[in-house]
Amino acid sequence: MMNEKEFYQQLDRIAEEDTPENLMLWGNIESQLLKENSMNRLANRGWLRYVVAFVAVLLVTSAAYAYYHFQSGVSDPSLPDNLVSEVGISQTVDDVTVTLDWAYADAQRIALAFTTSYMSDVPFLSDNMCASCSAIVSLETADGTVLPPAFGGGGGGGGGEVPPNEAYLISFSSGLNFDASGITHNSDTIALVLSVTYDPQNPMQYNLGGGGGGGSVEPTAAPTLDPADIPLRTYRFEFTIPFYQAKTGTVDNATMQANGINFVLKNIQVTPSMIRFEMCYTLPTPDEWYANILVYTGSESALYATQQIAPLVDLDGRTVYQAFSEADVSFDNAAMQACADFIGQGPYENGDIEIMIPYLSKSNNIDHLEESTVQNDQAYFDDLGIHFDYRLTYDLSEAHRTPTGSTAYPVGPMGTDEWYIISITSYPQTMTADEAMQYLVNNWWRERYQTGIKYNVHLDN
Amino acid sequence: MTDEHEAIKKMKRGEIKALAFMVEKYQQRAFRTAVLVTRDTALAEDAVQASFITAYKKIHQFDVSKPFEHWFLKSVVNTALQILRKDHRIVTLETEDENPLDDLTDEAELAPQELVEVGEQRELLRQALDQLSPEQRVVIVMRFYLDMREVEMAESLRIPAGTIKWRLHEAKKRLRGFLQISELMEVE
Repeated sequence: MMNEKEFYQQLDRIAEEDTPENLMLWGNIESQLLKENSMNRLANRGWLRYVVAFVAVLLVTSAAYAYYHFQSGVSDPSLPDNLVSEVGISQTVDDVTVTLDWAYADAQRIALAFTTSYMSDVPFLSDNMCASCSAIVSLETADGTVLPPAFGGGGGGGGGEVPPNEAYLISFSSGLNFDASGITHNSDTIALVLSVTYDPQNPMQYNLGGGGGGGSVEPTAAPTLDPADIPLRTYRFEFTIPFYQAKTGTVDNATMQANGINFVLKNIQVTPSMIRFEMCYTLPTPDEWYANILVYTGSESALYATQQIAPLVDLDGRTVYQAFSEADVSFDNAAMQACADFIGQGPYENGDIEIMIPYLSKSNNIDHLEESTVQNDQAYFDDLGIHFDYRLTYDLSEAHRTPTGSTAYPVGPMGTDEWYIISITSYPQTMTADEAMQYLVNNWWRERYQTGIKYNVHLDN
Repeated sequence: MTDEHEAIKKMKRGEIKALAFMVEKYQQRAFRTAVLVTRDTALAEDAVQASFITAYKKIHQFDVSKPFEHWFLKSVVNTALQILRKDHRIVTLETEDENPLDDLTDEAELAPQELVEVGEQRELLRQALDQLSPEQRVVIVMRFYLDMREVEMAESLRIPAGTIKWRLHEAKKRLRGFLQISELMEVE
C-alpha cells in the first residue's frame, strides 16, 4: 500500500528524473532583469513610451531547411474578426524582414500583430526563454501622440524537430494592444506609425529562445555572435485603418444606494471590442468584496457577466458571454470603498442596456461548513431555478463512491470529515445538467451581500 | 543573520546579485515543483525563471518572519499554472471528459498493491500525472509534494475552499484509477 510518505517519495523521484542535472538558471534570470532595468531607464526618459514585444517561436522542419513560423492571426477572442484589417506590409533591413500583419483600432483600443523573419545559422535553443527575442515597439498617431501599451499581448509557442547544421528560416510573431482612450479622434479612419526596433543589446541571433515546449531540439553549440556586432535595426510602418468610434453611455442617476451600499458609475464607453466603465462602491465590511455584474443588452441573445458569476446559466434563453471582468480593483479598507475599471466584451449596439449588480461577493475560506451555509446556498440557487438536495455524511468511502456526474457531486469543507452529497434535482430547460452543475460548483460557499442595483444606460453614438 | 536573510535584505535594497544566492539555493526544488505541475521541462524552466524574477520584484511584500521557500514555491505553482493556461494546454476539471479508467475506482476491482513493483509504480504514477488536468496536478503537488494545508491552497490559488477539496478528491480518484491503489485515497 502506498502511504503519504511513499507517495511524496515517488513524486520526488519523478521530479528529480525530469530535472536537468546541471540546472543553471541564474544566467537567464540575470540577463532578463538587467534588460528590464535597461528598458525601464529608457522608458523613464519620458520622451517615448515603449512596448517590449516578447515573441514566441513555432518551428517546423522541411526537407530543404528548417524554418520557424508562428501562424499569426486574429487570435484575440475579444476582437471582432470582421472589423480587423489585414495590412501585410513588409520592410527588410539587413536580411531581416518585419511584416505588419493586421491591425484594428477603436476609441479604446488599438491592436496589431507583426512578424519578424530571417535566415540564420544559429540553432534553436529550446532551453532559453523567448524573452531574449524582444523588440522595442512604439505606436504613434500621425500627429505624434504616443499610445501607451495596454491589456497585455504576446505571441504563442510551439516546438518541433530541427536537424542540426542546417539553415533556419526563423519567423516569429507578436500581438500587441495599445490604449486609445486618451486620444480624441473624430474620423472614421486613423493614420498610425508603428516603429519596431531590435536592440543591439538583445540581438535576435543571440540567445534566441522559444516560448513553447514540445520540441526535442538539441543545438550543437550556443551562438557566439557578439551583440556589439549586430547592427541596430529599426522598422517604421505608416498605415491607415478604419477607426471605430465609441458609444457613450449615460445614466439618469450615476449614484445609487441599496442595502447600505453606495455605487457610483461613470465613464461608460462601448466600442466594438469592449465595454468599459468605472465603478466605485462602498464595502459592507473591510474585506475584499467584488461586484458581480451583469450587462443586459437590448438583444434577446446576449448577456454579459463577470467571471465571479460565471453564468453558464442561461435562465432567460440568452447567450452568455463570460468575457467580463474587473481590472485592478483597488480596495481602500480604511475608507471602506473599492473602485475598479470594468472591462468586457461588447455589446456594441444602439439603444439601452442595463448594468446590474445583484450582489457583492467574497470568497469563504472556511474550515467548517455549517449546514445553514448549505441551506443559504440552496435558497440562492433555488431563486435561479437550480434545485438541489444535499445529504451530510462522514463516510469518506461513500463520498468516493458517489458517481461523478452532472447531477451529483460530493463536496466538503476544510479540515473535517464532513462531506455533503449534492444532487441536482431540477434545473432550467435553457441549460444542460452539466451547465447547472458548473454554475453550482463555481458559485457555492460564497458570502454574498445583496444589492440589487440596476442602472439603465442609454448608449449614444 | 543567515545568508538567506542577508540575501533577502539586499534584494529589498534592489541588489540583483543577491537573487543569485536564492536561485542557487532554491532552483532545484522550484524546478521539481514546476515540472510536476507542467509535465514539460521547457515550461517548467519558464515558470521557475519567471517566479524568481517576480520574487525579486515583489520581495518588499515578503514577510521575513516566514519561510521564503514556502512563499516562493506557492508562486512557482501559480506561475506554472498560468503558463500552462497561456500555452492553451489547460483543460478545466469541470469540463474534462471522464477518463474511462475511472471505472477502476470501484474498490472491489482494485488489484493488490503488492503486485506492483516500486519502479513500475513510479512509471504508472508518471503516466497518471500526465493524464491529470493541470488543475488536478496543482492540487496534488501542493498537497502531497509541498505539504500544504487545503485552506492554504485555497488562499494561494484564490478559489473557493470547497473547490479545492473537490479537486483533490477528483484527482486522487483518478490517480487511484490509474494506479489501482486504495491507500492513497485515504490520505487527507
